[in-house]
Amino acid sequence: MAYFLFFLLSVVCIASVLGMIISKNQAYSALFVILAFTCTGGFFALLDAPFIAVIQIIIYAGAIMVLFIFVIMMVDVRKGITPEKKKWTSGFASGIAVILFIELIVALKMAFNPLNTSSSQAIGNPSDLGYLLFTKYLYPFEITSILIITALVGAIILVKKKEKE
Amino acid sequence: MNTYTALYPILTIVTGALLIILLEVFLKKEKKDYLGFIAVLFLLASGAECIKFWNKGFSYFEGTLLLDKFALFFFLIMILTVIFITLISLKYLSLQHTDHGEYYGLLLFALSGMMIMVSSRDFLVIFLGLEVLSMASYALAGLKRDDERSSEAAIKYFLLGSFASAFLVFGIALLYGAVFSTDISTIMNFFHVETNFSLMALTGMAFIIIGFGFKIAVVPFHMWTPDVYQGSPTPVTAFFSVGPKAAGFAVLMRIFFPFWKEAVNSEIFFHILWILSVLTMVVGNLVALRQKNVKRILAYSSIAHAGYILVAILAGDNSGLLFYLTVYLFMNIGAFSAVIALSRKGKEFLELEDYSGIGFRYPWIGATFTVFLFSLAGFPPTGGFLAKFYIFSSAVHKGLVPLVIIGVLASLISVFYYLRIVIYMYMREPTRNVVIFSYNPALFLVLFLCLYGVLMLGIFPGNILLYIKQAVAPLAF
Amino acid sequence: MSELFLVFLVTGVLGIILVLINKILGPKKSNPTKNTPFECGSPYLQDRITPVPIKYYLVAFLFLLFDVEVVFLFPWALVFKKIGSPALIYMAVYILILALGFIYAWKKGAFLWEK
Repeated sequence: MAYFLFFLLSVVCIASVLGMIISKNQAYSALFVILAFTCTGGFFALLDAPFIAVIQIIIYAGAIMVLFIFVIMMVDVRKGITPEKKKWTSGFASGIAVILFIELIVALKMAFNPLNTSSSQAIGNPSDLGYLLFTKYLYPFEITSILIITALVGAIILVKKKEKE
Repeated sequence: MNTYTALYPILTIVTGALLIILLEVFLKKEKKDYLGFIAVLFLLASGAECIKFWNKGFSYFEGTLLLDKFALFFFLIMILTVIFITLISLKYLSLQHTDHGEYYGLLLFALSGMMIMVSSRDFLVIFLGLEVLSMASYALAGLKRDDERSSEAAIKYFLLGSFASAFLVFGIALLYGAVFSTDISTIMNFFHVETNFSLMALTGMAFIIIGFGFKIAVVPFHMWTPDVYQGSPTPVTAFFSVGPKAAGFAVLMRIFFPFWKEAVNSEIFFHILWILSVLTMVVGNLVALRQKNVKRILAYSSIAHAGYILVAILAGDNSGLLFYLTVYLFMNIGAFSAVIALSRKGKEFLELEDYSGIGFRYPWIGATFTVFLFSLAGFPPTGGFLAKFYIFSSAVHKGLVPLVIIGVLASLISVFYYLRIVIYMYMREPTRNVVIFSYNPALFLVLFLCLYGVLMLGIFPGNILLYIKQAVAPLAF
Repeated sequence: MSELFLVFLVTGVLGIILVLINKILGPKKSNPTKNTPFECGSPYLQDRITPVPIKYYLVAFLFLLFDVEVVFLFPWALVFKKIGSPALIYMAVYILILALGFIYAWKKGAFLWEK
């Protein structure tokens, strides 16, 4: 069952990423990315990490993609961006593709005797994760609040118009 | 002392930042000039706490908050930096139409990020600290909103900075995958064991070097530096050239000092850093020769200085590195303050041509600027000379003679462009009408404090070296 | 894993079915007028999405930040009983810092619509 789901998710994920690259309309590309993120969430669910799976969807497919779509709406999409065609890029790309292909084969070989999975048990359920977050990782957790407020102040100061003087 | 008192130095800074952004929105416009002084108050309070903790340091939150003397020394350097930056910004902001009260809040947030970075041994916390620093820096770079160059600086810094952060976090992930820990000492123990050859861990280390190489502006990860330094408001540039660099080097010291001693595969990283150091020194100094804008000259000079400091990392000379950073703080902030002094309402004088004849028209600015440039070039009796001398001599002791030869040649090149500014100031007839706004007591205070620092460190380095010796002791453990 | 996966499966399949049913069952009659964008009966005024102003972006960005904040509340709620009152303080500090940010954003007028 898990294998079947894994392959289903993989196919959908790869197809949606391909769709993102191929589609000329940036809005469609953004929608494909959402699908890809959702599939990634599915992978986390398969790895027994439901919390991260849900986060993947709430934060990435939800909030971050909203930002992407706003950026797309901010630029003029009528013409789309015509890709520059340079000779060296295609050579470079195919070189990288070959390397990736070899890497994939190696990864496939490794996949049937997985590396070490001992660490993945701890992140299993949300309450274990929460316990770690509020005991061992309390300090980093509180730092994230400073990070968020810094980003907030930075964003407002750069975007907000000055008051009339 | 329990866990929570150990948080005081950082907590004071964060409280100050929060208070400032709240006061910014609640206070009336006329009263906002006091925000800078509030920031200085909090900085002094935090500095006093650091001094109080000097002999009590320990580790808290399972090593993720590490208040050893090393961290406290960096706290003090950074707090001093931000005090100077705050003082030189007081008049500058209203003169250049960038008077956002949040400026001081963002500076304090950036400072808290740097403090978090240097006081930890855990990559997760270091990364979070770096992000706090970066977020504040991106906003600071773009603060001059009616200036296109400033927006360009913010965008460039943001895009390349997040790229570098991605490398860093990928590196941390790879190391975690190999070692199952984000703790630096655990990772170093892993490298210590001969049988633990892991390509994944080595790749992780390489990515971490890329991530920090960006922050400290090492060639070839320096591309953002000139444009960001030129576009940002000048006090912010002064901050970028000192603060984040010090923080980045502090983390590199925490990583590499045990690494050289313990790691079995350290030669390859030794060679990588060797090449980076040579490239940084040579490229930084050569490109600086062609610059016509003083801010860009100082930007390339700060790249070159990162190269000299890398020599110290290679030589494992921690006390030399701390001394260099201390001197660098005074001379670089001093030089930028002199640049800021040459400005009037809505206009800054940054072209080399503008500096012709300045030495006689504004003797104080000219004289102090000259001293800082001599120090940056490394002439005795300034601190810059001793700093370079310590680093290069310890590198010779470690047998890195070719590296030292390249370094000395590179700093000879640097003499040319530093002296060119001096020549413009004293030996050219003024060609442009440069009239400045000269009543700026806080700025002149900083100029003279920096002058004092540069000369004191150059003539009587003994006292500070004593404290530096104590500060680097915990690294050896 | 299985329960969560069921959720994914049900929502995914449901989405596919809803789209497909429309495609299969819906009548396919089209004419040029029907293909034009709907504009209350009048001829359409503009032929594409025009660029939206940057102020939308601030709203989206603030949403993202507070969204990230809220995510941490889920694990906190789960372990609250286990850790007890310290957990309340930990979260109170966290929320307090962000609440100050919220007050700042509010007073700064980030939630006001600029004309």
